[in-house]
Amino acid sequence: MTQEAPAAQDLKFVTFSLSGQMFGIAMTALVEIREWEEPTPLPGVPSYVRGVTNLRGNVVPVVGLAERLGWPPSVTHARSCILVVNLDGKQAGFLVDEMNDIVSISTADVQPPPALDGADTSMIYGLVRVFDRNSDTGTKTDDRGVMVSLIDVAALSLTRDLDAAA
Amino acid sequence: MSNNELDEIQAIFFEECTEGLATAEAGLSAMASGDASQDVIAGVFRAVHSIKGGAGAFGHDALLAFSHAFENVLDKVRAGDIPANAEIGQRLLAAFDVLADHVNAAIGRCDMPDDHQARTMLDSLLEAAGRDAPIAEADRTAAVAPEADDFGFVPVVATSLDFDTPDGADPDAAALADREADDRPWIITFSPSRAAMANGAEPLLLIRELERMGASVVAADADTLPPLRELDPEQSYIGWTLTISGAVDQSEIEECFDFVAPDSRVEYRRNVPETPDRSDAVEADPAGSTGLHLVSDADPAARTGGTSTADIKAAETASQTIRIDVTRLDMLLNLVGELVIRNSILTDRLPPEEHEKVELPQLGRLTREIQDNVMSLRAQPIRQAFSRVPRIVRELCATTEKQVNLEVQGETTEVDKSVIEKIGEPLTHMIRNAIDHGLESPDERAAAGKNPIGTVRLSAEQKGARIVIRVSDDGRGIDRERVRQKAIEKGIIGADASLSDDEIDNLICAPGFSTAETISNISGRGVGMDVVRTNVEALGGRIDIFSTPGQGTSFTMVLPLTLAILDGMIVQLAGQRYVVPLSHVIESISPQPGQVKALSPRSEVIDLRGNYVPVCRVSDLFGLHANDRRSPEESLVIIVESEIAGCIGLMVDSIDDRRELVVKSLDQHLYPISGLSGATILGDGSIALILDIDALVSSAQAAGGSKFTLKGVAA
Repeated sequence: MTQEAPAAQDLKFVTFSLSGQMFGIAMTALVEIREWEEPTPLPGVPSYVRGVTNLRGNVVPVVGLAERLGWPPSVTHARSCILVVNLDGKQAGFLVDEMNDIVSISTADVQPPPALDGADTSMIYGLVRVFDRNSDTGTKTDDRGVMVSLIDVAALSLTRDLDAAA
Repeated sequence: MSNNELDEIQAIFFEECTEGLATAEAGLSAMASGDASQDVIAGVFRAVHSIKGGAGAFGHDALLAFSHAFENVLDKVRAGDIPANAEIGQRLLAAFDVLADHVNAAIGRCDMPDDHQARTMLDSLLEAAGRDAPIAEADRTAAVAPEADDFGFVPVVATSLDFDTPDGADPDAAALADREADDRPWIITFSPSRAAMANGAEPLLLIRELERMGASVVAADADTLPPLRELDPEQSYIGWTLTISGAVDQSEIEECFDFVAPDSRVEYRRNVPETPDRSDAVEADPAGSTGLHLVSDADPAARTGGTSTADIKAAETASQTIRIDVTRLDMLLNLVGELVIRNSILTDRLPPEEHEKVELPQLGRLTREIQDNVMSLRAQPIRQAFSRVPRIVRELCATTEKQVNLEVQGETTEVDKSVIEKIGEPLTHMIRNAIDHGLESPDERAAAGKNPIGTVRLSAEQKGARIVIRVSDDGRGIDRERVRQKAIEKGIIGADASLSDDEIDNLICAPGFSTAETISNISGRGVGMDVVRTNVEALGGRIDIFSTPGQGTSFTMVLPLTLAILDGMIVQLAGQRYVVPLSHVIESISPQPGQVKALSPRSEVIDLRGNYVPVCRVSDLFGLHANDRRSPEESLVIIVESEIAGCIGLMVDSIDDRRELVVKSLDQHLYPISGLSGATILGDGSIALILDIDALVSSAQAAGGSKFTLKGVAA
């Protein structure tokens, strides 16, 4: 538990799976969820940028979230989805393996990720335990619940990463 | 009406003013260069007249007075009393500049200009045209704007009814009659209609308006007032009779009633019936369509004639423009894009034999037409941004005593409206720099063996998803040694830095380089160039400087088009579709066996009627399917030309189509991608990437070297 946590708030998170792990992203950042559709590939971009797609007349980049977070690239299948997320007023799509649920999380329950040597956790801002309502999530749910890594939406910004690379 | 609405309407008026000024300037410039057709003069007159009408409605008295004086002169020009020659054109242009200042002052962009000189000039023109008493002097004191804003029906009437005033129709007859009857006071009777009251008209304000002109109420006519129990509180029962000095011009009285609802009863006539036929009520508009009963001692024939011309003019004005928020257009464009996509999906899903049955082809055609139309709405010719330049040049010529010949090219280049709005300031800076610092004085020029008249060239062209605006002069060029010294002094570069000429030229855009203190010290440039660069970069563009000492300097703004229409060729490449901007395409060739020859394992040339032109495989450049190299015979070679690197052949798999496309920026999240200038959404909803030919060509030629040179020191 964090010390002197500010007044606990309930926040809604959308949970999804990536490489067998559960992740969550704040509902407020989510624009929509779309079926996976092969985007138009771009030349000369980092490999996690899968390409661009047409979102109602806007050209929106599609990013493999697994690669972005350092996991092996997702293999797309029928249940693959694109999460369209609002980043600083711009939209970007993120490929995830499977959508799971919408959960309400109290900020008081969020733990900061432990600092591990050599592990890039800069895009994870907290861990939380979720007791899943669904039984068919593919992840074994037991009494201890499932660990969900909450993703820092601002850290996903593509330009931020490219800035660092430049 | 709330203040907010009023502000909005006033904003529309200001926009109209700006457009009107542009029209007027174009017309006057034409006149100054000797083309003074009747249409041109009439156009100028209409523009100034509209400005006057609006100025009156919004109470911009100074603007009203000046535009009125201007209009009077223009009217004389139109009537042929003042010759429409080049000299008059020049003088009117000078007056026009003051008018533009007045408009800007009304908008609040600058202080009220000193128009004394221009007024004197206009008055003298009028006098020269044979009128003994210039109307202008009287107007300056007497012409007071009707406070029409309080009546709440300003914008529509301002452009239509406004033309009904006889001064526009036949001022000579009216004025002549006025002159004869100057001493007879006017009697005005006025009773507002129910409609006027419903529109929020306030008779009190109107009466005050007339009182300000010297009128006094002599009687209130309450005859029609019913008993209290029958009284309809929304009806208007009371009429007023006022007298006003005969010295007041009839047109001014009419102006007061310009904004009164159509069926109100308004009459005015001269008091003393010396010439009874003149004071008889003459209905100017027998059909009564406007219901505005004018009792006038002007020649009835002239009145009727005037009304009909005014009607035509009103119709013209009405069909000119509608103002729409740009974001709405964007929304519309996106929706239409979706519509096109849905339409294609429908086409795909229905079996072909059903298509005719459900009239799908007709739907498709309509959809395409809608798309074309909507796309054309957002693009505007860059002329709008360029239109302010001639004036800046004129002013600078006057203050610097240099002679400048301005050449403008590519005015019709269509640019997104948002870009037009934002390039104005950088453009002004660049023009100022070119004339103030770039060009030498006539003496210096003559001494250097140049034409004493300097040339400033302004050009615009669209290149792919970029717009290139260039300001070049044939002046002295950048004094690199001094720029360098200054930069060292300012600590921008180290004393021992070795810089190429290009880099030195770019220093003048460095932040902190140009301060007020350095302007006078730098013989070359420096005024606000960092501001220019900041502005251009804020638009996502860049600025290139090219200077040859003694021969001149050119500044090139390369701006992206957030939304531009591109004529493109859609090509297939490794299963993806790409767009080659048609402006670069010279020809496409289906290579014969042996026509494409390898120079080395990685480079090829095509034999193009005896010339060997390098060929580049776009798939290689983009790293696509490198293991699946097609033979040249199965491919097409598109010969493209780029300004920096000449001709090159691009090898693609096939050509799909040729069409107009909306360019969408890719830079939203991603840094500019080498070789791509944008993307577009095709009719089926898929995305095609637009090739940046210049970048492709230079990267192909650099062949592994530093592919893209960074321009600008801050890069």
